[in-house]
Amino acid sequence: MRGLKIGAILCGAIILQTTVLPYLRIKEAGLDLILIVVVYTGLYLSISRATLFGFLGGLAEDIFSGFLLGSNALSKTVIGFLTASLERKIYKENFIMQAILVFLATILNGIIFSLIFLTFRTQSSVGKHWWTVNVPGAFYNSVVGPLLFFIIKWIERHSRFRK
Amino acid sequence: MMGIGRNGIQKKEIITLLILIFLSVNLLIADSLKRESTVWLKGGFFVLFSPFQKIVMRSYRSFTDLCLQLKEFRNWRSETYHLHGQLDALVQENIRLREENLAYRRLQQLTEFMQQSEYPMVVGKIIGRDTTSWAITIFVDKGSSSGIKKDMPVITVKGVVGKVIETAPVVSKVILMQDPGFAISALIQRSRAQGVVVGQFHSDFCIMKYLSGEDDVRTGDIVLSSGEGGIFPKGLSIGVVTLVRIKENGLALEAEVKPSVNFDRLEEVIVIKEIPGKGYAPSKKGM
Repeated sequence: MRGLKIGAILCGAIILQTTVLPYLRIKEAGLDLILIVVVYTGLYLSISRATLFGFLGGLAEDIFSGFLLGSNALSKTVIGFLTASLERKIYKENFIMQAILVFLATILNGIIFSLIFLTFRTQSSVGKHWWTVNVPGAFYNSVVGPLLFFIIKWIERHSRFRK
Repeated sequence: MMGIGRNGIQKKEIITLLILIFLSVNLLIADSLKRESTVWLKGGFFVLFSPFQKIVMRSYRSFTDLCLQLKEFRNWRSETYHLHGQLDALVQENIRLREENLAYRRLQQLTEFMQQSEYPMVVGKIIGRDTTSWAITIFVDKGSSSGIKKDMPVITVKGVVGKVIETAPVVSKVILMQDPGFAISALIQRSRAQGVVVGQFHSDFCIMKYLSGEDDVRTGDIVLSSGEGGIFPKGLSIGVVTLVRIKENGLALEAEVKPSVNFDRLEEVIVIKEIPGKGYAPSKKGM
């Protein structure tokens, strides 16, 4: 049941990510709502589900972005898996811990992306991209992330699926 | 450290991860090689999400439009407030300019009148009125330093106003024609019948007395100063006869005269300083 709820939330995140969020960029840095939801699934669902949600969320992001299909799917799959694996080793209800986790997940996302970029594309503007998009984006995500965790939890608590 | 086992990561989870990584890498390779196999996948997602995307985008645009309209409304409100301020200032300026224009016209009339007149005159502005009910007097901003003396006649372009009763260096006190203590020798322009015009309390009208029962006086007759008495020159307009009464004995007439000057709207007056030929000769009788 919880997987269904979070699946619905992930769909909502995909819709928002592909419609409204591009307008809410701070300079070059944008909010990665799907990444935040994937981290959330990692903290509150099983490893398999978190990995699967990571893959599906990333795949949807890939389809609506102009980059290579599978790049986000790969990075979000790894993030979902690693977050879920770490879940028992951290105090996940702490806001600061949540912010750090989202920050690290964004950085890891950037690393995987850079590797894919360097492998499949010949241009080498990755360094500049890091300082203008990835690092500011990581801060942006880590600030918004804990707040979104709070909202998702509230939605989970107040929504009931009827059989 | 993460470990594979009962308490760590299970085998099926590793397999799930590997399968999904394998799928992702395959998609990457397929897409980078521009293979057609990814088209159906993209199409499926588009079909699934596009209706929701449309709804969200429409709502977002409505929201941003609303925000924009609110911002415009706030700007409009602030601009309106600013324009209201400007409008108030312009209204005040307009009133001031109208006042100046009216004052200019009045002064122009006075100047023309003074240029045409044979008497030396001085123009004074009214700076106050008597606040008691026992005398009907005004204060003029010109006094003895301007050559004004007691008993000098005070007029306007329209006719007789009164006469100076007191002077100070920069102020003069003028008794108006409406005051019962004021009297002026007068004549009816049409029939030349003579009498004396005096004021009366609590009335806008004066009374022309000492008319004989045989005098020809009619309603509408113009009353002028006769020049007798040594204060007022001859021919100044006093007013118009509005009513003629026969006295009780039937031997005399009395006429009610409406003054030519509207005393409530007086703003500037002219003081005649000298009557050529006669000089300035204040009368003891006050006429």
